[in-house]
Amino acid sequence: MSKFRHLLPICLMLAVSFSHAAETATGTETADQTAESENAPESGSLEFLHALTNKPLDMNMRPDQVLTPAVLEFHETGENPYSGDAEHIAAGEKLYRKQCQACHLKDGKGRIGPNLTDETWTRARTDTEKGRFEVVYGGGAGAMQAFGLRMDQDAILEVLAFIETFRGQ
Amino acid sequence: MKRLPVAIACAALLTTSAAFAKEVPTSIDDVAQPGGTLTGNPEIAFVQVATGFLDPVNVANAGDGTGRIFVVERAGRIQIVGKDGAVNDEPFLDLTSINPLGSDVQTGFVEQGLYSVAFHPDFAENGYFYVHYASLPFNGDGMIVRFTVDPESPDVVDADRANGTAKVIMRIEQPWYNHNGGQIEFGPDGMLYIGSGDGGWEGDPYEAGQDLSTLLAKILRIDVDTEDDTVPYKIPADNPFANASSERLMSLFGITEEEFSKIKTRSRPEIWSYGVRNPYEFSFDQKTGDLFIADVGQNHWEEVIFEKAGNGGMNYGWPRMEASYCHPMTGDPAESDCAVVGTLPVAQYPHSAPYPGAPEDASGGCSIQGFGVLNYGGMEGVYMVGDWCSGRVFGIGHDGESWQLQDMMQTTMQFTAGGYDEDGMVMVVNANNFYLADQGPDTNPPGALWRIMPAADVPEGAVVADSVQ
Repeated sequence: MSKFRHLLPICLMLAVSFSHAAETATGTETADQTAESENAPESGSLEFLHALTNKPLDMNMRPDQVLTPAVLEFHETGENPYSGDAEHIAAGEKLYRKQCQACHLKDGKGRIGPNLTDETWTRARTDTEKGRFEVVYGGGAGAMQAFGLRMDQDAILEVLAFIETFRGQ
Repeated sequence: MKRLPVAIACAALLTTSAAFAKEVPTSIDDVAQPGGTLTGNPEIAFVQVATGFLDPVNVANAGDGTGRIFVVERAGRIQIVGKDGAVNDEPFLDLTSINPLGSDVQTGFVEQGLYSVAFHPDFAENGYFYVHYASLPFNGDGMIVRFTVDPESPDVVDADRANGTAKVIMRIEQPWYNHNGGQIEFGPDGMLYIGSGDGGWEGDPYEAGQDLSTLLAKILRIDVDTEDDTVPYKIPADNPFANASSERLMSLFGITEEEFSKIKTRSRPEIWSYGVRNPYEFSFDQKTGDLFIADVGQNHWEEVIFEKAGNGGMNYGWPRMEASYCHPMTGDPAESDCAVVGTLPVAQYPHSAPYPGAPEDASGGCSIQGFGVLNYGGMEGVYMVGDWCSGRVFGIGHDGESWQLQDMMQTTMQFTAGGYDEDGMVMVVNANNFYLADQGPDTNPPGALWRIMPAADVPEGAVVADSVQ
């Protein structure tokens, strides 16, 4: 990088004019996405996008996981098969305690992370179950990491089914 | 090219005006908040240098001309990244394996671990480097230890070499597992500066920030160049409290109040400045020697402290103040009446709730992480910081009239720290760790090393971090 040292101090005006040409430089590609072309969703299924960048998500972040019938159905419909299912909601609650509660609090009202109990959503897409899956699976920003790296997709559906109960109260 | 002379004149003018006007705010109205604009409205990009680091939490260079970048992993390892971006197979230092009874590093809480590495200004000659870490044998106390590189093995300090050369410089007792500070860095004056947190819990239960008898909640400054190597360090004669606690005969009369006020019989001479909460990251402006501190806030505000080169003895207010406001916050600070204690920060940004009961704004942060001071890309003395929670990046600079906090970009990343490469460019690491119940420093998804570059200078084909404005 030594060549850039010679740009010091770079003239302001030039930086401004250069910057317009560089706007497309942000978000051109990421290391994680190099594998995406191999993991494109199968024909006919929904396309899942990153909540912040709108780029297609790598749907194969944990290659060893089993894509359960519920997950495959979700990929097609965007409807959570575990919604309202007591057994899966209970499993989702356990996962929520481990992975989500530190920021969103036990009652879902949020502190570091946003409130999950109302119908106000931080990002427009999160007013749908598909959008909420995209945020949990692929991450939003900062501490709202890609939990698809930590949990199987089936488990994420269980967490979402539990989170849904906050708004039913 | 005809605009070049104009640009040079413009830059020169701004450089000159900025140089004499960097004063710390004396009024809350002058503390920069989000929404500001840096001179020239610069645009930056995060260019990936290397990836695959496990909970990277600091980055440094050795200043020895090798171009190596040292990435600190929280578990207790330091990895070397070569000039070409390749990561060495063997770590430079591995504190998880120097003690036959197990790791020497306490990582049980996400804020604990190996915090930072600093290389002696004469590292190329003496091989000295220093680390700060939470010690497992000492129940999480902060250990600052010097090791010496074997010139025959410049890239690997193995367990025998580490044990054979270890010199404990300082142990900072830590009552609780959070707010341990972390950064250690040699200043332009050759002294070792240490960021020491308030010891943890919340609200500073020890009142450490205003207590000069403890090393907690301070910026410390010591001289590691002792003539006798059995002495851990020396107190620099110009430390603000260097002689404040020295024994002396008592005189009651004929002494001014100012002279009395300098007698502080319980003060620690290592203290450089005080009233900080958790200075996990701080950076010297390599051009001016000025110091920026990213002081992690509590429930409502994150702050940036600016200290002119050599200007010790400052009180930054904690726990009487949280950023520019009185602590504890009980409501809208605009409606409260309280006196400022100490020196105000130059910039601050809020959490999702800027005060109890405030409307929530999900774009708020939770933990400021300082990267370094940019003196390139059209920027002059701009301190770049990012937030561990929100993934936002802010630039803090002085435009000749006032301090500005510019929202540079929203990224997807969780930032943990920054540093410099040998060319003075600012390096950044991001991790994927947080206050989660079941993750350890070696099991969290890996993070990466980035270089902050002017957006216009990003090389073709480079991997650039995702961001939106």
